[in-house]
Amino acid sequence: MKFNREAKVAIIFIAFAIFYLALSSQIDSKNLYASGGVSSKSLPLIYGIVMIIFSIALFITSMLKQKDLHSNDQDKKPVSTVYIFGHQIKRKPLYLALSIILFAFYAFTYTRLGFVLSGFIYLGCMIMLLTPTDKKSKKMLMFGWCFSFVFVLGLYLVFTKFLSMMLPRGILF
Amino acid sequence: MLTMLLQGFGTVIGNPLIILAMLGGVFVGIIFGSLPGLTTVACLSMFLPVTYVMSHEMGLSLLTAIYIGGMSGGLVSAILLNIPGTPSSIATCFDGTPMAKKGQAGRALGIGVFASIIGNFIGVLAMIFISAPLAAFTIKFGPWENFGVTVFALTLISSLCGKNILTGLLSAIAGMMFSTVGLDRIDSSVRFTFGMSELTSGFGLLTVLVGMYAVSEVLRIASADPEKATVNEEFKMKGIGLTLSEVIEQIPNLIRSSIIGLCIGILPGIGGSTANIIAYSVAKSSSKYPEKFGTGIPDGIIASESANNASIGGAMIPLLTLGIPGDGSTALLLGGFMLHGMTPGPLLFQTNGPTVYAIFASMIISTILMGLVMYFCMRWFVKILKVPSFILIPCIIVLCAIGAYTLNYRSFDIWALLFFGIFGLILSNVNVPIAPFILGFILGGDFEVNLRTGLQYASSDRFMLLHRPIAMVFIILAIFFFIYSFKKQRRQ
Repeated sequence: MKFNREAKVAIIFIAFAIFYLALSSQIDSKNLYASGGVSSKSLPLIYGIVMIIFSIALFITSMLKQKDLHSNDQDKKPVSTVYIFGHQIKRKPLYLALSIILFAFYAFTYTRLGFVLSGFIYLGCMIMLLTPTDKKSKKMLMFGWCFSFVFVLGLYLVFTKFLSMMLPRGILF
Repeated sequence: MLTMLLQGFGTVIGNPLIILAMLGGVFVGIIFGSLPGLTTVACLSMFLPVTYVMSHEMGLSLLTAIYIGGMSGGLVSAILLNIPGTPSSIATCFDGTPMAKKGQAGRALGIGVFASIIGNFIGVLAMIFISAPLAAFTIKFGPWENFGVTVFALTLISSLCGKNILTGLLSAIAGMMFSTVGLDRIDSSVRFTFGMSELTSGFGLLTVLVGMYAVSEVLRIASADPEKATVNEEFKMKGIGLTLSEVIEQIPNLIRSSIIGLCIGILPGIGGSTANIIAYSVAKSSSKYPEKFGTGIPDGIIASESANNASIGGAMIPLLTLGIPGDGSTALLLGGFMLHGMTPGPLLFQTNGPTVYAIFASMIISTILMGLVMYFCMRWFVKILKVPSFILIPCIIVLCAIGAYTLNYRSFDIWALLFFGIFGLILSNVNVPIAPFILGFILGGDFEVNLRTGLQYASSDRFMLLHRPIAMVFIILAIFFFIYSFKKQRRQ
């Protein structure tokens, strides 16, 4: 059976609500009678139930709109691709995944390597990643890395020296 | 009162150093407000110790100038980057960014600044002339009244839902669910922390906001064609961005939104972050052309910016008259008063009248300075759009990470940014609006706390809510508004 986008959204919300309800039921609630019977788990339970009700309503209404299936098919656009080691890969998921991985790397190294080093690596890699293919040249990439270093170092000095905010020093300072 | 106010103007204008301090405060505030992740609270906390060496008038004028600059600065990144610089400018994105995308970034900024100035003036004038009766009215607000206001604010979500009301409501409930993470504010029960100590204080509003708007936007652009992501903007603007006839047409919107901002600003804990969304929703609902909202019309920018700036005057009323700070910024201002040996409260006007009126005067002058600085710097702000997106976008992430890290000085908040970034991207990809999620997240905590506190008060009286007229008015308004917007949407 084919589901349209809204129906899939409804299913995801139902799954999320069930997960949330399962966790809500495990809350060690206190103060049950002092707050008129509304404890620390009451509202989470209500939110979960309301979400399930609205999700079911969304699922039903979306299934009634059969037109969406056709319009979604027509909306499909050609996806741009890039070549990596001779393999053609869809650009959108690849760049998105790389951006998320780089951000995760940045978060992981933020306190370990320090603000300047982690920021320099992240910024340099992101500029390399996002630079359009027609603008990619040795000069541009060199500029990207130099800019990353100057920008991150400048920010570090402004925030730590002038604004007295503490940023992770890491291994450089 | 007028004599005192004139004396206050004399004190401020008579000392060029105070004007210079205010100019610097407004400028720094705008920078902090416009950078995603950096907040007015952080800026105020940095400059609070600096005021110790200054006179009462100069120190407190500097702090209020930062507050005004910070609140207005948020519109810059909201319009140019679709990333609200502060929680108070969320709704500015809705029409500001589409207008900028049409090649009218200068006009959008001009309208935003104009609305900010008017909103600020209305808020400050209300603070000067009617602060006493307003404070006396709001002191009657207990948990049930605050619950009524929260319920009313939540019903406004229906006008932010876009084409499908159900997806909007689901988004809002998800926001309310995320607001329950951490220690329960009533009885400290541990909820949804998965054993992580970092989650005991819940998710910070700034982390959620920056993650959902800035990081998701960055991820979206990263996955789009970079050739299309670069925007070239020529700066074109005449006057303030609005013609005289447009200004006259917008007067009801300006006044209505400013009053909304003022009233919400007075209520502790709600403030500018909610005021701008509520004012936008009301402007949309009462408009003759609600379908045009979100396409880049001045009405949306004016509603959001006049409301958030009017909330400054509103937030100052309980601070000055009752000594109650409504949010982080006013809490730091309270610290500023105490640092200078003054205790805000009913006796402040008697014991430190001249200083208080000097602060009133400095707020009016700061508003004018804010307008001048913003109009003067607008040409340079718009140049941000000329920076290629492949350089600009990663730089924004680095700035956001600074803002998130300096909240609690822990890398966990940077991970939270990534989480909410991915979550925001998924929501926008499946056409679930983000604004209701944010409003649900902001109001979810207050909704629960006020409901449970109210029920605790009413342990023996099950119908106590019916005996609270102010709360009942808000709840009836909420029901009326929900039915009205539901019917309106069905007609459309």
